[in-house]
Parts: sequence; structure tokens; C-alpha cells
Amino acid sequence: MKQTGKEKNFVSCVVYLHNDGAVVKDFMRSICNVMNANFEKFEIVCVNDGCTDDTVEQLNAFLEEGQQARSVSLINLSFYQGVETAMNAGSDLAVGDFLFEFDQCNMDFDEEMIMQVYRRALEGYDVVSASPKRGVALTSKVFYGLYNWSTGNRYKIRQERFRIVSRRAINRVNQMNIYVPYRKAMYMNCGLKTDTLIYDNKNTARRNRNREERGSRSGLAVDTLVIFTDVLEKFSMFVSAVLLGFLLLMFGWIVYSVFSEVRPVEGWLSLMALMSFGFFMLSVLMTLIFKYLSIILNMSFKRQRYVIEGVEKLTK
Amino acid sequence: MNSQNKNDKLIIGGGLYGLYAALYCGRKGQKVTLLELEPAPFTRATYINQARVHMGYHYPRSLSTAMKSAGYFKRFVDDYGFCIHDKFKQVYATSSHFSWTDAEEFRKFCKSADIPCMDLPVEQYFQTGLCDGAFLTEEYTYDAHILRDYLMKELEVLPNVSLQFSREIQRIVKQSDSYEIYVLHEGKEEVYVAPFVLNATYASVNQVLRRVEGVETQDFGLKYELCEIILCNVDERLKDIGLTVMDGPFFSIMPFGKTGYHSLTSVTFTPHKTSYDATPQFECVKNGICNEMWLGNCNECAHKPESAWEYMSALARKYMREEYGFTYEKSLFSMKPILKASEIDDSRPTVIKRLEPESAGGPVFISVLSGKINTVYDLDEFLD
Repeated sequence: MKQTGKEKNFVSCVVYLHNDGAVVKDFMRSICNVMNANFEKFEIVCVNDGCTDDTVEQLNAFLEEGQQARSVSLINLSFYQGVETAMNAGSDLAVGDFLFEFDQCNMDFDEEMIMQVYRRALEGYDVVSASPKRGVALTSKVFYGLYNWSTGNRYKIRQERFRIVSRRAINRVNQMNIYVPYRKAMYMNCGLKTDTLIYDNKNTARRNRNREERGSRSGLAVDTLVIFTDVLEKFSMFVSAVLLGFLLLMFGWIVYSVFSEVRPVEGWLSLMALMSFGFFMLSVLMTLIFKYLSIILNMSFKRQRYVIEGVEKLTK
Repeated sequence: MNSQNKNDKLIIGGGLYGLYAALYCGRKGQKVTLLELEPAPFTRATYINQARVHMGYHYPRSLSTAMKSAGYFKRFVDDYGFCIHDKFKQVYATSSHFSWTDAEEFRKFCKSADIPCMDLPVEQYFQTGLCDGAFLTEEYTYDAHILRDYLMKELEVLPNVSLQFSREIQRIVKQSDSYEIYVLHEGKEEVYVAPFVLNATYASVNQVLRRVEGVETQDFGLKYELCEIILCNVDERLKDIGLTVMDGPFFSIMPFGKTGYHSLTSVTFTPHKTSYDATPQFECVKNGICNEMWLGNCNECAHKPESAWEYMSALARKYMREEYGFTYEKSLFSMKPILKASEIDDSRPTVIKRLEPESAGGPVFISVLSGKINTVYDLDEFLD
């Protein structure tokens, strides 16, 4: 084997492509530069998520320009399935010790950032993400805020451009779950050490998403909140509490009106008392049902009862 | 013309099919000459492949190929048992992702093809979640060198069979009742004549056909892959196990005959380069040991590709449990022709073509192309 001073680890780059004809060449060139400069062996797995433009032609044109990478595979999804499904397919095909997951071909970070993330991973972090400082959409902010608040996890999630994941983390996620609806949350919940590096993005140009993409993104956001957080339970508990308050207020008023001069319309008091009691009980029932559903969800969806970061031997 | 070069049959190609045909006809007392470009038999694809004696498991998308393999399996094992290694567990697994088949389909397929298949605990061999089924199967590996030595010994005692190595074919000329083959040997021209020619040259089958004069020839619809088989040293635990993950971009690591090595191959990384031309056209041909007519032996060429060991081993390690260790020993390279028609169902039919229909009454020229060792018996009816 040659001694080149390059990294010995075999890395895979999984690249998400969806109508990126305009940028795919530059993006691939940057990736190949970084990889060739730093790694002895690497592979690139591109996932074509129902591109309708010339992305694939551009990709082929880039590869024909010269021997930039020894192994480039392309997964063609049959139709548009969204970044999560597509990237799952890419990660399943990749064989590296470490996987870079590029969720979009938007190179708003320095090439050096890729190696920073890699070196951070070598320090013992199984998942390291690169997250832009600026240009996060308001809806995304609301989603991440809601998510982080309701999980109370040690590791917060943010908008990410790319990340590196160790083979260990991927195996862990596969062991824990039957399917992976939202990778970011899975990686954060896999129990291994994770980290996020924030970079100052050069341009904040946002991708134009079409309706289909937006629909799939918001659907995913709802799914994620339902599966990974207890937002629904919390919400229904909150409603119960409000209704309980209302009920108490009602009773207060009944008691007050018994001893006071004010006489509302005949039957008003009893009707209101019945209604607020009824709604309160309904809401309590809903809370119980949500709780029950979340237990069922946990039992059927999660395979492992506990997640560990590692086992240490303390006595020598 | 030199009369000693008149034959009953001429066979081109010193691989298994050529040697088998020579022995088959030689035993019937026919005068046979075998012509081979290399200085020795079995130097290319017969030796450089996975060395599987196929029982059909490999073809879950082509029941016909599977059943034919299964049929010939027993006959081959009976005839050539001495070169066969059968004392290992051959495990087939179906990948959870990207596979064209799954555990349920594979079970059903084995049942229809009537080949043994027993469920094994997947996680005994593979990482969690990567395979959805693992099966103990009955499949063996043959040792090409033992087989070669046996065939050569059998042929030695037949005075009517002559094996001519280092023969480079120049022209094959059709006459009214025979074919004349002009060859170069150490710079001198030789002529061989027979009313029957068998072209058993595998990757060179189209190149041989293009040397035929006096009759219209038709190429086989082929593409060519320059393939690498990696020989590995394996840990004690893996010694008596062969693992094959089906059916898509996966890998196989299994004993390589009786050599003590395991062969490591992968669908994605074993083929290094592909040529879609009728005859193999590769970039490396210019610098290498090929000449304008014939392919050299890729395995001995200085311009063979760099090994894909890192890629193949990463793929295998992703699937296999850590305790099954293996290390690099060496790489073998050879050219593999693939029938274009068989890409969809991944079948590997034996194709045998006569140059002219039987009714023509003239001399016979037959070309054979098969990717499997145990379908060699397909030749019988054409040699009679």
C-alpha cells in the first residue's frame, strides 16, 4: 500500500439530487477535490429523487471530464419521494466507515468545513452536523423550536446542510428502529455522542421548493412531532388544564350567584356547569387516549428498551 | 499441405470447455487438435472466477437457468468429485435493501427449483438489519488446477489428441468440405485442417469468428467486463463458511477450490471496466500485452487495474459480523463476456451457435459461450 499521509478511513458521500442541474457539477467538483486531497479511498452515492431537469446529464458530463472519483453510484428513485426517503436509500447503499450525508447540493460552506466535521467525528462524536448560521426560514425555526422544547433532549436539532455519521451510529439506528422517518431525530436519539458545528454561510440563497416538496416537508414535520415528541400529549394536557380552570370558574360563579342578588336566566347555571364539566372530561379522555397511543407507538415502533452511549470498565 | 495436420476435429481454446471436448472426442478415437494462444491450459476464465459449482441459487430471476444448473450439478460432482471442495457451509442471504429478491421469494424460488434451502439465524453471520433472510444451501467449489491436472493426465494417454499451445490464429478459411486454420507459432505459420471446428474461447469468441473467411459470420451480442477476483486469507471462524448476499449490488466470500483461500467478489466492484463493443475494446489494450487481434492475459498484464480491495472489503465488512475476519492475499484479473440479452433476468444460458445450418452439408463450425462450469455437458450433443 502507498504511504500518502491521507486518511485511511473509507468514507462514503451520499448526495441528494433533486433538480440541481445548475449546481451539481460545481458541487461534485468541490466534493471530489476535498475527498481526493484528504482520503485514500472514498465513494460517492448520488440519489436522484425524481429529477425532471438535466441533473443526471450534468452529473454524467462531470464524470466524463476525468477520473475524479473511482466509485460513483447513482440511485434513481422511481418518483419524487422526498429527501428523507431518498437519503435513507443512499445510506443503505453506502459502504464506508463514515458517511457524509449532503442533504442538498447547496455549497454555502467552505470546503474546509467538510474536514472540520470529519476531524470532530474522530474526536469521538458519532454524528457531527454542519449547520448554517443564517437564512433559516421562519417555519423551520418554529418547527425546530417546538421539537426541541417538547423533547427536552440533550442534543438540540437545527437546520443542517450536511453531516457525518459513523458506521456504528448507522448500525445502532438500524437496530433500534424498524424504519427511519426522520434521520436527524434518529441520530440525535440513538444515544451516541453527537455534535453540531455552526458555520457562517456565505450566501443565504434559499432553494425554491415547488408545491410537492413543500407539502412533503410539512407532512414530515407533523409526522416527526407526532412520533418523536410528546407535543400532542402536552397540547391535550394543556387544553384539559384550561378547561379545568374554566370549570372551577363556573363553580365559583354558581356558588357566588347562590349567595348574591344577581339571577341569571333560569337554567343557565346548570347548563353551563354541565357543559364545562362535560368538555373537561372529554379533554381528559383525549389526553388519556393520546397517552395510550403514544405507548402503543413506542412499543411497536422502537425495538430497544434503552439506548446506551457505551459501557466502560471502571476497575482496572 | 502437411498431412499430419488433418484432423477429425479442431478445438480452439484451452479452457474447461476446450479440454472437455478434446477428451470427449479423443476417447471416441477421433483425431483431435486443440489450439490455445497461451502456453498452458486453464490460465484465464476457467481458473479466474468464483469457482462455484452452481446448483442454481444464483439465479432467482431465471428459474430455467436454476433448474438446468441443478440438473448438471449432481453429474458434475459425480464425474469430478476429486476436484470439489464440499466440506463447508454455503450460506446465501437476501439483502434487506436494494435486492431484487427477498427471503420469502428466495424460499419459494428454491422450492420451485427443487434445491435444498434451510433457514439460518440471520444475525449469526450478518449485522442487524442488513439481511432479511439467511439460508444454508448445498453448493460446492471446484479447484481449477486439480481439474486441469486431471484432464491433462487423461489427455496425455490419448495419442490421437494433440494439444498445441502458444498458437495464434491468423485466418480460418472455409473450404468445400473442411476448415483450414492458419496459425502462428514462434513466428512460423502452421495449418490445421478439419471438417469440424469448435470455438470455445469464451471472451475471444467474437474475435475468433471475425477471423473466419469464406462464410458470413454473426457476432454474439456481448458486452465485456474486466473482472477482479480477490483471494483472501480468512480467520478460523470463516474457514468453513461461504457467504453470498443476493440479489443486486452485493458480494460473495467463499472458499476458492481447495486452495485454502477464499474468493471475494462483488457485483459493483469486481467489474473494473466495461466494453459494449462486439469485440473487447479497452483503453488499456494500447499499452498492455494485447495485440491488435487478440486479448492478452489480463492477469499477467502490467496495465491491469488497481485492486478494488478497499471497496470490496468495505462492502463485505458492512454486512458481515466483525468476528469473521479476512485479509488481502492477491488479485486475479480476467475478461468476462456477458450476453446482452440476459441482463434483465440475469440468466446465464449456454449459447451454442452453428455457423451454417446443418442442412448445408458442408463443414461444421460451432461456437459455444457459457458462464458456468457444470453446464459443460451441453456440448455433448454437438460433438456426437
